[in-house]
Amino acid sequence: MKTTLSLAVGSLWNRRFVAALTVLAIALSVFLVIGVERLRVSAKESFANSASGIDLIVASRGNPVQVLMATVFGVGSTGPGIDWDTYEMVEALPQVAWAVPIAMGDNHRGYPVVGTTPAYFEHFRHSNGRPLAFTSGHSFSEADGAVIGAEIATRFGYEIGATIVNAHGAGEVAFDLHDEAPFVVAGILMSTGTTVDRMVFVSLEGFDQLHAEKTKSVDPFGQETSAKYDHAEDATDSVEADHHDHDHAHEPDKINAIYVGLADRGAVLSIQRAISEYPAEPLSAVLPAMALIELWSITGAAEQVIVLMASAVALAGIVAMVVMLSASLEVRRREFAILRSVGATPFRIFSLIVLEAGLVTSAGLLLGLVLLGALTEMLEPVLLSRFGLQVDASASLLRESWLLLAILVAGLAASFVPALRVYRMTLADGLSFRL
Amino acid sequence: MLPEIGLRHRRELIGSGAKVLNVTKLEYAWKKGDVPVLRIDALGLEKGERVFLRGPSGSGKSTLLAAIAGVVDIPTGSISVAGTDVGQLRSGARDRFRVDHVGLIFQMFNLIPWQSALENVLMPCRFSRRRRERTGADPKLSALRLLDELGLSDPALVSALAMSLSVGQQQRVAAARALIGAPELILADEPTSALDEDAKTSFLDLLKRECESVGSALLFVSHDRSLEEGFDRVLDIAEVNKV
Repeated sequence: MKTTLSLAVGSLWNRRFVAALTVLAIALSVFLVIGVERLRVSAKESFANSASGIDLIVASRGNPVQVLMATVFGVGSTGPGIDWDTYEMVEALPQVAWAVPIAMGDNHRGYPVVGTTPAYFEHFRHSNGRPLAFTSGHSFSEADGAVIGAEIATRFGYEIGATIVNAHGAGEVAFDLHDEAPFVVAGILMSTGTTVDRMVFVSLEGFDQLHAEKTKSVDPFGQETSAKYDHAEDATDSVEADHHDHDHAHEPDKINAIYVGLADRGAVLSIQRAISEYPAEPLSAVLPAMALIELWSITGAAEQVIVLMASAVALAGIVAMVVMLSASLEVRRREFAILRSVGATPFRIFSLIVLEAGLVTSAGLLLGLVLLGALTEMLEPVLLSRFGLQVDASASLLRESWLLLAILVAGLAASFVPALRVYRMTLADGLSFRL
Repeated sequence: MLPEIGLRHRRELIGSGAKVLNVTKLEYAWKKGDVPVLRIDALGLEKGERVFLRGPSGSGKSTLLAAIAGVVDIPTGSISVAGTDVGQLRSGARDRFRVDHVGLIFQMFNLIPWQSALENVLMPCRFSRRRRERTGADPKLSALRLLDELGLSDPALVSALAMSLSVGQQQRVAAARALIGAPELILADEPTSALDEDAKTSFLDLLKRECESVGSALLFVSHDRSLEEGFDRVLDIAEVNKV
């Protein structure tokens, strides 16, 4: 074994240029396969983290995935919106521990603006149940107060006291700036690695004022604009009106969704049914976990294509190695005959080739992981801030080990092709060899 | 049995009667049913004996060497080397047996090009425990001594990669490799054919001297009659191989 190893190392060193290229080819395929795997797992985790701590999302009746995407990730929209009465109904259900209203539809420089209550910061959980925390400042207490996610703060350099202007709609391009209703940054959230980093939170009152003060609407979709205007007129009255809960000092006309936390999670299905049977308006109560599973089943095909492509690259790396080993065989015929003359059995020469393949593949695996580690280290801040992806190497360690093992086994198995050829060749050649 | 002709001297070495190589009634064809390429009634080498086997190429010399070295399948009972019936060994065992008891030198390209001269010489000791143990305390010292006696004492040459050596130097390294650990039998297949006239004689002299000093028998195969001097016996392949 020691002899075979030193022969394998020596022979590879003799062909170090080609061997190094082969190692590089394998390293790149390992880099891609594991990199794709890590991104995939991180993306999924980031998604799953974003919705943790919420037992139900109530919105007007619609597809669960659409509701989840619109509310938690700020992508797309939730149908027509729900009445404030509905919120009060949900909050009043005995099994409900807390309910946070969510209003959406505006953006700040392309980032979604969420109208909510300070209770949001109390109840929202991310990354295995961690609560939100403020880097600086605090929750909004004024109607024009805003809390911004970590990414928005760093990207635009906002600090406490900064004035920000929002725009109507969800797109990156703002046609319709609400510059008459600016907000003042009251708090900045700590980075979470979820979509919260990319959101601006304002009070429901402030959110409504945005629309209320827009006397002349050019919004082709906003049939409620005028209604809201009227409503805002008496908004001040309603502050003093009544309400046992001071959190709900402002009563908006419509909201988009309600995040619900249950006192008893076992009741989730009965609550879900009760809400969907609510007579006043058609509602959906979405279980975020179920919606995520549904989402994965949609993205699964695309994921598989990506994994398939990464595997194809890995295969190409292994083929490159087989080509390298096979191409060298003719040249090395002499070497094998000499080895046989000094006592090497054909099996030993067979194992020499397999060992060389094992060394090249292992070196490739190692180099690939090092490359990936270095690049992740370099790109981590960008990935986190641009895509909210926290690439965690340990997240998929088990699966990664299987992938690495699979590549190694594939490399060894592939080397049987040249190794068997050598075996037959050495048997036929014996000690003589043609030149 | 062929009559033992031409045994001239060095009786103290030879003459114990134990044959290092004994070929009897060997018939060999590449494929079953083909015309045999070897049909040898008797060929024997005694301990330390030096035999010159003369013949043109294509006369079955190389096949005979392959058969003796145990590279091709031969019937049992036809070839014994150092008292062992080679035909009885399975192929892997034959490879191990070969390195234990036989040293081989080919026409050219004997060495692993990316190893140093010294590493090449030490190869048999890595594959064979017997050869390693027979070198004495340190195989490396033994290799250096052999190289030195074969005229390769320069440390730069000893550690040079085999591919950087001249053909003559390579053949001497190959001889040292065949001789290390004193195998009973050295098989040399036209080892001088790539050398010029001066190098030929000096190589042959060194080879014979070293075979004598380590006590190995030498079967030297060549078509070159000018090299016949100094062998215990000279055989013609046409007389030995009766195909």
